[in-house]
Amino acid sequence: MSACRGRAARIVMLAMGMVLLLGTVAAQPQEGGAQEQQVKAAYLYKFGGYVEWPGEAFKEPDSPIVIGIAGDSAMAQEVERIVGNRTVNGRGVEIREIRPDEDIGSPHILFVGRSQLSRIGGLAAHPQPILIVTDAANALKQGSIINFVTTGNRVRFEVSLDAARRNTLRIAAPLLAVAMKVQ
Amino acid sequence: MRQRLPAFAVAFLVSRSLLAAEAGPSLADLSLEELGQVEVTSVSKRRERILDAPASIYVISHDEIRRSGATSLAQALRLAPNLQVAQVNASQYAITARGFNNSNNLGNKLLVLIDGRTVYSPIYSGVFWDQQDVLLEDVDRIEVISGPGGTLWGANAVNGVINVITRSAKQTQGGYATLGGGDAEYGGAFRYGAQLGETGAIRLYAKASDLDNTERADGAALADGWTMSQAGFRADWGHATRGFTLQGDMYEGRGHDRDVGGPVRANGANLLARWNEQFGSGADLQVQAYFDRSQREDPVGFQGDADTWDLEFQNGIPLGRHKILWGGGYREARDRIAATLPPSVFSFDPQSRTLSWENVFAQDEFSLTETLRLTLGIKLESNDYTGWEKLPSARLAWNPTDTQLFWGAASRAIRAPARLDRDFRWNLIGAFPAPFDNIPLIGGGPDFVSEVAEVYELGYRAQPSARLTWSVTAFYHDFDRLRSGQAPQVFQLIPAYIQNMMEGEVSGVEAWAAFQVTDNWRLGGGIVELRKELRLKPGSTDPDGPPALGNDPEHQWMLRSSMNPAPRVEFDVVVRGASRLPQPLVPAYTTVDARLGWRASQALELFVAGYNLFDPSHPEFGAAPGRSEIPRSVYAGLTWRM
Repeated sequence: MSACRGRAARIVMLAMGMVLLLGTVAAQPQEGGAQEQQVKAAYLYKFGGYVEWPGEAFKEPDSPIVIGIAGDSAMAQEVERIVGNRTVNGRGVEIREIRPDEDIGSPHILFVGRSQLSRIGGLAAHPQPILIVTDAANALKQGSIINFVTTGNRVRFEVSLDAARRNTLRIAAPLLAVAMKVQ
Repeated sequence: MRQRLPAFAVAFLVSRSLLAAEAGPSLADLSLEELGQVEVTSVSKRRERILDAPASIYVISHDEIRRSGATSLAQALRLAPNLQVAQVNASQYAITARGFNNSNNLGNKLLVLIDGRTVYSPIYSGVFWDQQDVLLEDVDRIEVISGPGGTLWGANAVNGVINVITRSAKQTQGGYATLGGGDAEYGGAFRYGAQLGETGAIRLYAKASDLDNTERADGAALADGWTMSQAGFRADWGHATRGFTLQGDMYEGRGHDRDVGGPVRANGANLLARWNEQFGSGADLQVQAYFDRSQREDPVGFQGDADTWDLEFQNGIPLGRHKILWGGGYREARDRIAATLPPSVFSFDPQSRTLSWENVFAQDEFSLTETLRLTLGIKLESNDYTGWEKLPSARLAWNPTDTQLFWGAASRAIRAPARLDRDFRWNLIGAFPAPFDNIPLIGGGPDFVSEVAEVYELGYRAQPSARLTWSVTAFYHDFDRLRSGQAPQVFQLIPAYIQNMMEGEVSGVEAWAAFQVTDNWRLGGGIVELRKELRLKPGSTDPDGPPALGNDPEHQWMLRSSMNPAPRVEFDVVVRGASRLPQPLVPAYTTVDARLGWRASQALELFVAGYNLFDPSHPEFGAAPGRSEIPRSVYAGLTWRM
């Protein structure tokens, strides 16, 4: 009986300890984070290694891969930082921030931030060999090729093969294997 | 707390909060798959890579499981090069790391957790693998740590820890169904995941399988077949900084009919709640509670049930160059174990017992320099048999470059007494003359204390290129007070008691590598070399000696090829080999498994798998002539995902 009461007392103490602890740590302020963006930026760079563009997409055999970023200057900076002097399949990487009033031009990879999402409709109507990447729900339906999805604590992505075909891009199997969803 | 422990395993082992500022650029060096595994914590900016974990850890990925064609958890564990997995019969497996393998895992030193819930039995220190399963489609990864993990996981994590981690309900939305069959088993499963309010998600699943009886080498049929059905759910609310999880499972298993006694029946259920919170300071907190009930009725063997309650919390606090992790927990298990029928009566005294365990732990990961990290930790854990036990460890990690890690560790681990060690009784009617019938022939040792291991490890892991990773670990376990028996002294009416009269050393090397040969072809492989030098201590009258402590191969190897020969086709081959088991003798064997999968449409996949392809049958464990031969078999089916 006393052993039983002892156990009960221990559970109560443990529970009380936890409540106290919560009180103290939970009082601290929260802040938003940046790392999700770092992971997305790394993906943007990595995708280049798994996509085959038609020959005419590059002027010279050693022309750089151009990553365009529209509607998210923080992302542009992050990609710039993460890429540094790295190369993709021997090509240099050029990062271009595209202002809302600027033409998209013909980057090889284009990240479209949520504020500029309406622009992908136009891109889908006039297909060019551009890998369109977004991070908005339902973006694949609007014509995006790769869309980031943050589930749990991880950044994953979904791929639209039809959209890739439309833009005459070939996506390598390892990228598809990692994708959360391929449609 | 345990579900996060993997993350913590990696975190304590790994987290490099100090280097957070530099962490950004080298994300670009991770593979796509690794990027998908990076935990994005909006506050701590912490990068966690397996490469940085100073322990012998192998992570079985979701894709590896899917491509292996495994249909049960035990089969999926074959994918870990640092585990020894032997199929005992149709439904039972002997699984361990670094030796001491035993059928039914009696006396095993491997701790197994499913989403933070321990499935290691306090009754006999083992896992009934035929009772422990998950829907493999929903498994995110299985972290397999060979070597001691006592400082975080507590007693019994002597030779290894297996953490099965399922995906959040948010990651398992939509429908999934699979159906398959072959000449050794058939089964099916489905899952459906849906949104739950604004921030929540839930999934429900069910699976059922039927395993055929196996045969002995002489062709006689054994009654080891097994029918299992299981259902469960998982619901998750919130997000990375504040989340709540509620999950549960229930299952029922039934053995095939036997000539003697009735079939073995097993059932169980569990419910787990977990709450985690991350704070602006970078600190995090996790609180978890669960209830687990399991029951097993073998009319001619073990008949018992156990109810387990468990409450745990842990708190991580970054403090400058230190990262502190501390926590505690309380567990209580009440069991009832029935005696078997005379004349050979196996029983426990007392028949019903409530055991409890308490623990507190703390560890500090300290960055000595930019490239050198030291982790010191200790867990204090109490049990009703031996009181408080100390489980300290020290780990040193050195990253000379971002893609290399040298590490070393020294740990003390224990296996605390189980009910079997202390309370077991075997009365053989007629062994002692009346009126001394109540004296057991073999009895649990009243003086049995914890088995102890002092473990030293050295490891190196590297990713010399984006296509190649490899890992090698050398280990040395110095064991003392290992379980031993005694010869009963029938004429003096003295039972044989379970004692701690064995000692010895186990050493070896574990190594594995993965190589992405081309974009469509990946090779992986691993080896384990194991040497055991165990002996009876002076004064012991144990008639069996070290062979009672497991039957292990000196060499083990595996080679795996994963190929996508065409865009929608997957072709996988696994070759596994193990050298002979010494006592009882099991001949060396090599097996070849293969699986061909074809994605017929977006939603539909067809597959066919063959196991043990080039060998009509072979035994993997146990003594001839009664043991099972594991036959060649095929399994084909279809999977539908929406």
